[in-house]
Order: sequence, then structure tokens, then C-alpha cells
Amino acid sequence: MLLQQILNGLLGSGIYALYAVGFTVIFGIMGVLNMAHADVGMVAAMAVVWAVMMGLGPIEAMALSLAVTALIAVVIERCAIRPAQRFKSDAAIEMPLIATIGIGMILENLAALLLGNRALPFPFQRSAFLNIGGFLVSEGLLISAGIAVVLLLALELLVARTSFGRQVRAVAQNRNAARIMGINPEFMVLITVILTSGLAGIAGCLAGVSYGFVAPYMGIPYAIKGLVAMIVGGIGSLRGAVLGAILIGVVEAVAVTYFGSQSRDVWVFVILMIVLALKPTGLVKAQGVA
Amino acid sequence: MTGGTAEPVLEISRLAVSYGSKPAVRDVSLSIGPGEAVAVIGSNGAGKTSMLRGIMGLASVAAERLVFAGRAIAGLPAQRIATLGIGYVAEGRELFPGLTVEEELLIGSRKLSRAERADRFEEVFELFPRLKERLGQVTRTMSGGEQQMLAIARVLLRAPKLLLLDEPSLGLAPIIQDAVYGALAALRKRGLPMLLVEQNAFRALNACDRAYVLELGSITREGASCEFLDDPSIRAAYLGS
Repeated sequence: MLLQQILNGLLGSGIYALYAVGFTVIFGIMGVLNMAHADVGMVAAMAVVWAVMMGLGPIEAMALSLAVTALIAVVIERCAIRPAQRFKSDAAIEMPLIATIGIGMILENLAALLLGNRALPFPFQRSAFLNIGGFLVSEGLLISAGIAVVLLLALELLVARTSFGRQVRAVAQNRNAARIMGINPEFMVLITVILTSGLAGIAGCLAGVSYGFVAPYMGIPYAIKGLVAMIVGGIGSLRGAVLGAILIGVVEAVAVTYFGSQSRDVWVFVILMIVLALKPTGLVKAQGVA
Repeated sequence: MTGGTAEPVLEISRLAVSYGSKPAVRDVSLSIGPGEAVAVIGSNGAGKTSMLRGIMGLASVAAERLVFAGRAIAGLPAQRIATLGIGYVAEGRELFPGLTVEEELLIGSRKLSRAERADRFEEVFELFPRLKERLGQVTRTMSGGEQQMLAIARVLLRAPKLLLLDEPSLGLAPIIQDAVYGALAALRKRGLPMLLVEQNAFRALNACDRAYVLELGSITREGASCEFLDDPSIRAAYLGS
């Protein structure tokens, strides 16, 4: 029973991890919280639902969803993040925080207005359960976890081993030094916001694949858990964000079994408080983005 | 004011630099000819660093003329100025503290092909052999001298047409200063134009062909370095004798 729940938690943590790395990369590079991040995932999933309702095939629906995601990412960067960069005071942190909360609310309400304030069945849901080695495994969660692992490994390689990744880390660590080395920080931030929004979009769709439904306000719990995973893991650390997501996913699953589903979110915050008390910088220390 | 008859690499006329409403540089006019090494000496707070930051696009400027390699650069962002060919070694080195030496060098050489990069790496390792031994080291754990060498090396990998150096000897032990200035002398021999800003006027004047004196944000004197070294008023004000 316990092993089964740990397995469920591990598989479910893939979606949390995709959200958490997005939060941590943006915070690591910009020092701002993109509170609309998880809502971008919701929009991506809702866009797929809408596209299929309009008669588009799976490939066209996914392409549309990615295009919408990229567009929203550009809006977030241009309207909420970039304008604050000219401030050196706390406004540089507070302004994007409030602005992205606002963008998130706009996205939620627009989705509710256009598609109704209700849960909608996701067209590519996988609700079957597989028996693997005596464990019952959700096909949707298995697919989600597999895709998340591939994407997270690709992201790790991108950040650690490529010229693009070095430039992102350079911008995160010293923006002026990046400029004098010919790197355009604003462009790097824009690309990074698009990239992380893409991950959020995929996470939103994977939530639909795994749990069968998507809804205008589905982003809120993912935002909270993604943020907690980022903080628990250590802000700016990709591996830390993944570790935090796994911890949350497993504790949630185990807590549901032993303490009931009502206690699920309580334990997430219990973990947060324990980690903050014992290791305030999080489980993995990072400088900038690493 | 040019050092020769050829077209200057950098030409500045009536440059002013400010931070918000606070003026830091009021009136700087200078030029650097091809292959020329030029020093700007001045006391602390004279505006030397601000002048370099203004040239580099890191502070807001107003200028009658600010031309690099025949192109007006006033108002361009720093990354564009860097791409045009000005290499800037900033005061305090401005490294990326969490990157390794190799990663810093790779950032400097990111536009090069693999073969070009290997050649350029060898060139900078000839100037600074110590960096070759430190490739895997994270820059924040390096000594000040090693960081200064790295700051110069990563800029050289970009094959700059002009080098701006801000206090390259600041905070370094004399033996490390010798190593850094030895490398600068080698670059000067290769004909790389440079604008060197230093509080250590003796080192700066010995390393350069010409010099300017910057006082309270304005250029007050210009001349050959050797003349300045023998000038009693310069010696009294900046050379401590």
C-alpha cells in the first residue's frame, strides 16, 4: 500500500516539477515571481480543448496551444516583467509580482468567459490503469512522468551544457557583465519566459491527460505547489525544484492514504515549514540559475 | 588631439556622463589612434570609471561626438557596443561568480568556430598561463589577480578592436600587477589600441604612449606619457614625488 502510494506520488510529481522549474528559472534569472506561470498551463490545456471542439486534429490543436502559450509569454515579459527592470528598488520585485497576478486573473476569467466556468473533459485523457509488477499505475500519470523526465533532462542539458544555457546563467549572475560580453539580457529573458511558459503549457496539458479534466481555475493549486517545490528545493536550482516537486508529490499521495484527501494540502505546507526551519535556503543551493 | 594622422579608433568630443540628474563627467574630449595606448589619470572621484561606463553604454551620455571605428555609438546599448568591437575590462572585474573559468572563456568565444576557439584559447593561455591550470575552477573562488587575468582574457577572445581597462592593478599584489601589465605590454606590441584608466599613474604612464588628466569630470591636460613622467606638477599630484 505504502509503495503503491509512493509510486503514485512519484508519477504525479512530474507535473509539479515542470511548473516548479519554470518558477525557479524565472526567479533565478530575473529575481521576480511570475504568478501567471501556472495559468499559462491552464490556457494551453483549454486551448487544446477549444481547438478539438472546433474540429482540429491533435497535431493542429497542440500547435495552436503552443502558439497561444508563446504569445502569452511575450505579453507577460513585455507588460509585466520588462517595465519593472528599470527600477532598482523593491518595485522591481513587487511590480511584476502584482502584474503577473493580474495577468493570471485575466487569463482565468477569460477562459471562464469563453469556455464556461466548469471543468471540461480533456480530449486526450488517458484514464486506464496498468498493472506493472503488481502495482496499479495510471496510464496518464505514467505518460506525464515520462514526458516530464525527458523535458527536465533536456532542460538540465540546455542550461548546463549549451551556449544558450551559459548565457542564461550569465545574465542571472551579473547582468552588466553579460552586456559587456555582448549578451542581450532582455532577449535572453524573453526567450527564457517563452521556454518556461512552454513547459507550463505542456504541464497543463499533461494534467489534462492524467486527470481527465481541465478548468479555468486549475492553475491555482499548481501555482501554489510549484512555488512550494521551488522554495523547498532551493530557489534558482533546477535539481532542487525537481527534488521539491518529488517530495511534495510523494508526501501528498501518502498523506491522502493515511490522513484522508482533506489533509493533502496541509502536508505540503508542513513540508515547507520544516524545510524553512531547518534549511532556509532550501535543499539545494544555487546561485542565479544552476 | 589624435595620436597620428590615421583615422582614430575612438574619437570623443565634449562627452558628459550622468546618473539621473547627477553629473559624473562634464567635459571629456579625447581620441585614440590605431595601435595607440592612451592613459587617463586622475584622483579618486574624478570621473574615470564613469567616463568608461559612458563610452561603453552603461551610463547615460551626451556628447558632441562619440565615434568608434567610424560609427556613432552614443545611446547604443552596451551589448551592441561590445559587439561592434569594444572590449571592456571593468573595475571590480564584473565576472560571473558561479561560472567556471572555462565557461567564462566559452562565453567570450561563443561566436567562434571550434578551431578558431582552440587557437584563441592558446593565445590567451600564452598571456595568462595560470588560467589554463584553473579551467574547472569557479571564478568566485579565484584570487583577485586570477580574476583580473580572466576578465582580460575573456574579452580578448572576442578579438576587440579597442580595449578599455578600468583600474587593472586595483587591489593586486605588486607581483600580480607586473604579470597583468606584462600582458598589457604584449597586447600593445601587437598593436591593440587601449584606453587605460588607473589611479596608479606611474604604471599607467609607463604602459601608454599618451595620457590625459581628468579632474572633477573634465580633461585638463593632455600629453605624451614620457613628458608627464618628467613633469613636476604631475609628479607632485599623481606620482607621489
